[in-house]
Amino acid sequence: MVSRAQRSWGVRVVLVVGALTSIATSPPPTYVREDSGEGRLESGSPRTLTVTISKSARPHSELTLSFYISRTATRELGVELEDSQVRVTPQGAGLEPLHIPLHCSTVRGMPPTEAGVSAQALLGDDDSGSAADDAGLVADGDGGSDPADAAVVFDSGAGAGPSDAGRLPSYASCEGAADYRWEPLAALCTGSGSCTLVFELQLITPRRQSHHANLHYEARVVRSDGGCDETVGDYPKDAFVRAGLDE
Amino acid sequence: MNERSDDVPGAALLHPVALAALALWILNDHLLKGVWGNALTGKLSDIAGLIVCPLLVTASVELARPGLSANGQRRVLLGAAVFFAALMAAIKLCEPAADGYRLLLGAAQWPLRATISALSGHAAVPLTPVQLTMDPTDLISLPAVLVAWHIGKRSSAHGPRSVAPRSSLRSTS
Repeated sequence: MVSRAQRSWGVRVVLVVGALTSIATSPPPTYVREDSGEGRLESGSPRTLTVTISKSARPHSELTLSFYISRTATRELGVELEDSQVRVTPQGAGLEPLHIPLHCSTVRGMPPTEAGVSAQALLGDDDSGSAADDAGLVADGDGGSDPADAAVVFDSGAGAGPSDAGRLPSYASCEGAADYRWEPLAALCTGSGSCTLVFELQLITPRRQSHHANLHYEARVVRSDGGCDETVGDYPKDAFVRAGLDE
Repeated sequence: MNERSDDVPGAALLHPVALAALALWILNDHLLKGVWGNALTGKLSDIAGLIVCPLLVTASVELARPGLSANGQRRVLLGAAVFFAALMAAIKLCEPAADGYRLLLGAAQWPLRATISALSGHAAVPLTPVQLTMDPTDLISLPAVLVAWHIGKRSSAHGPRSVAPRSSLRSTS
């Protein structure tokens, strides 16, 4: 027999559990649009912008994230990056890094005249088709097309091949690059719940800059479980990180 | 339980259907969505939530005001049921409402996430909105509030619970 007092406590227990369940019912976001590095890039060097991206995954599945900053767009907005680093901190239940430290894959800029002449040869190659197919890989983030855009072409292909002949070389260092792109940043989810990747992007900017600016970046997550790729965010389209660069 | 289960404030929460809905909600959010993550799991939590949430609110009010009349309890239950049904419809159909939901729930989750992150030695977790999929087909779960209404109404039909025993004690002393 359950006493009245026990039932009364049972109600309270269910009430607390229900309240906690209702609060925890929606998972953290798959990505964060806001500048999540406490809202601003602080003065001094390095100025750190933290971008948090979380993604649920099945156990033993792999989360791969690529991160991309359009340097051209950034320059147009008046931000000059002297150097940049990305540090990844996997978080969450049973998430283990696979490919860390990171590989910074970039494409150096070309003189506009040269780029204008050989724009097709400079197109990125995803190793899956002809050069014409690769046209969609051009990313400049400025919404237009001009000779300088060739400098922001990048290659998402995993390796070199005959079709890569025309593309620009990649460099491990991001310094002086047209764009910044890091991939693959992968982690293995070994837990049963949500796995969270936390990307900490460190940007080093000239101290003379003293204005607000936007950073144009794109984050993309590919989830291996379920055989589907999931694009996280439409960053080139609608998401800008507002980062104050006040001195 | 051999005794009637609705003789304590908030007893509707102990109804087997309410307990099952709460268990399903927890199971679905923290296991099934991660394993299967399809349209069905997307609706299970909505159904369970629409059963549990109105009962939670009603139980809270009953605990705070044990002498609340049966009519008062029904009004609270009705208000809660209508509110959560409207909330569900709004966040599934209206972008500003969905954004507000994402933000408020994110703020509610932040203290716990920040504490866990700090205890595990990770970087500070920013206050972020939660993820919400605006799927109008989720509105198929709206009738679930009728289940909450049925359970709560049945429970409230027995009127105030805590006041009556005290009255009877006084009358016998």
